[in-house]
Amino acid sequence: MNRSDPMSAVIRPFRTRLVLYAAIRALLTALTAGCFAWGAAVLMGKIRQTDAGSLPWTAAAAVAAAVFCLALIVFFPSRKETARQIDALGLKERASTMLALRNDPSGIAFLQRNDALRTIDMTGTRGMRTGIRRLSVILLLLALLFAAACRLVPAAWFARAADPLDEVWEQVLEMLREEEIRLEERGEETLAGEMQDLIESLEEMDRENVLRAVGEINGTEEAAKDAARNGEADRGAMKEMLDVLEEARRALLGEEEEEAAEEGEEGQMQPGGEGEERMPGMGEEGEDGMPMPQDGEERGDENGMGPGSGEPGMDGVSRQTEPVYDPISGSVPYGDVFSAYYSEYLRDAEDGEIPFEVQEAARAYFAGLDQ
Amino acid sequence: MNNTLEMNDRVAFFSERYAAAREQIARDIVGQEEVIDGTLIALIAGGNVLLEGVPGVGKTRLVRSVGRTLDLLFSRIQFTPDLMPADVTGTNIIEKDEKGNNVQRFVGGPIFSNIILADEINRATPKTQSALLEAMQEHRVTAGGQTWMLMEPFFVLATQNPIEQDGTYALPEAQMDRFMFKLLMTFPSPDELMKIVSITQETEQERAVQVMNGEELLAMRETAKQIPVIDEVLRYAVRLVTATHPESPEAAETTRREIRFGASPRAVQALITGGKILALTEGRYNVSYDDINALALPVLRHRVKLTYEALMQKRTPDDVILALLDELNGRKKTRRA
Repeated sequence: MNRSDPMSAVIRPFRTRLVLYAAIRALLTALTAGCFAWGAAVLMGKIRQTDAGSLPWTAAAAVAAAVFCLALIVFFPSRKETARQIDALGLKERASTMLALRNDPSGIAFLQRNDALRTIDMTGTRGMRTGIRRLSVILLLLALLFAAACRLVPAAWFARAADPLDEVWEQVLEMLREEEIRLEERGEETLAGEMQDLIESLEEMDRENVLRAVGEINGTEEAAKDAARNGEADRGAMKEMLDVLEEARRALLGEEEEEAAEEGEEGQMQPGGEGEERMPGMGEEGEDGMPMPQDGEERGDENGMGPGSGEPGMDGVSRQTEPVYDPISGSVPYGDVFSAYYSEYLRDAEDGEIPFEVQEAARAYFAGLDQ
Repeated sequence: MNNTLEMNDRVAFFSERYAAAREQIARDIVGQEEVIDGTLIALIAGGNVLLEGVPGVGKTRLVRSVGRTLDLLFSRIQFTPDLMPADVTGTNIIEKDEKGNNVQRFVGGPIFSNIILADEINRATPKTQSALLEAMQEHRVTAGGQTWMLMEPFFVLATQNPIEQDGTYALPEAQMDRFMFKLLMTFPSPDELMKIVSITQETEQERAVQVMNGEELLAMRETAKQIPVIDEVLRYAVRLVTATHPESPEAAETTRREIRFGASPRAVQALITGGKILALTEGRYNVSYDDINALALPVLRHRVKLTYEALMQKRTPDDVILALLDELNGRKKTRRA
């Protein structure tokens, strides 16, 4: 269509207005997309616990600009669409037909075009539909709400709770690193190398996998003993290293407190029995034929006493022990079991497993024991 | 330029004659504007019209008035149960020639005319009704092994009474489809009734006078054919008719529920042809969606068959077509025109 022809001239005001509407629609869409992008970037920063800096604004501007261009292309009114919008003003398809017949030389086409031009000329642009849908406005409001919510939500909501196990691991690794340095200073290259391997292995390991870590420690212990046996390392240095490894293992298994309690006990220690569940590398005999430290062992001997119970092995590493009460003598110190029994009672009472009428009697019983 | 001037003259002639014919008919028929317009549009388009209304609303008077407005031959056939096909089409008679020999001669029936008033068409037997079939569609009659062409323009205006169904024969679908429009003549309003009484007190005769002849009518038909229809409007008309077919993928929800059989392709032809004339009568040179919508009821109401469920709910074809238009145009509800 030639810009100077009467058809273009008559349609131009309508087309200009439609272009304006298209730009407004594109702007609304771009603002919506920009708000979502800004909110998402802010939220991502809070989730990752990092300072997003100017990233949200950059992302929002880039997305909004891209969406604006795209939307403008999509919404930009074609000539056909312009004619359709003009017809919607009550022109009864005069504009669309005029456009379809613009190259028709017939007499009726000429009359139709003249009729359409005259009618369009008398029609104002005021009643034209903007094409802005309610949904677009609602979406923009939602995007603004989303952005505001992302801005206002406290970053603390996304902070990960400190895992006590992480702290333990860090302590263990620090302990091992210090030992590695000491070994290097003493010129124990073999032991230092083994320790370094262990540290690297633990650093790469999933921190949920404690048992595997303990297995690695046990393996390092065996390697250290072999090195001492083969004369590649000093036995004193090896023993110190084994002490550190034992300490690390206990820390990982959370046995410090338990050990402290055990230290107060005399005798009545139980060794590991047969058929017990062992962790990788555990339960193997040391070079002197004594069993190596075994964590989590189940009681197996009837007399509750086993070789090496509560005694240090040849390497001087103390074994894990648990108090065992002699069933024959029947002497069970109340002090040792009271807290466990009382806790059990409280839990069952809370769960409703103890009838209400019995609870009073049970409470009186425990109160009596406590005294 | 000459082409344009000629077309301009033809359009002006169309508008002038249409307005004149409408004015003359309105002298005899009070109110009923839609029926008058529908009759004239069908007349110009070359279609036939089925008029339905209770007795006394002016069906026969309308047809007689149309006949007077046009300088055309006019026949009236009063359909009765004992009317035979030959009474409509004509028959061969035996007569003596100049030499005294018996010879057969075809004597044309009342159908050999330009405007036929088939009064109370549903009172005749299907056999007699069928005699009109060939004439209505092909504008010719076959009798005694010979085919006779009818005069042009040829226009059948049939009337039927929606009540008093005893002793009547409902028109078969094939014959119904041959009517371009089915127009409903409603009972006049009190004001219109007073006017009717005052007119008929002066004279029982129709007052319309002739304002055009057959040739002019054919010229108007040719003018109307020139009116352009854009593809979108044509597609809309096709979609409207297709949507009346329950088995069609484009069938509307209303259709699937309430229409048993949809309209034939003749419905699209009627919508477009009628739309062109309607546009010209409104001073436009193009067909619009509104033209199609305006003609949907007279074109479709006798072409759709309702389901048993729709009939049980006392739904009329008009109700269903309006619901269909609403559905197609995404409107909530259209008030009945």
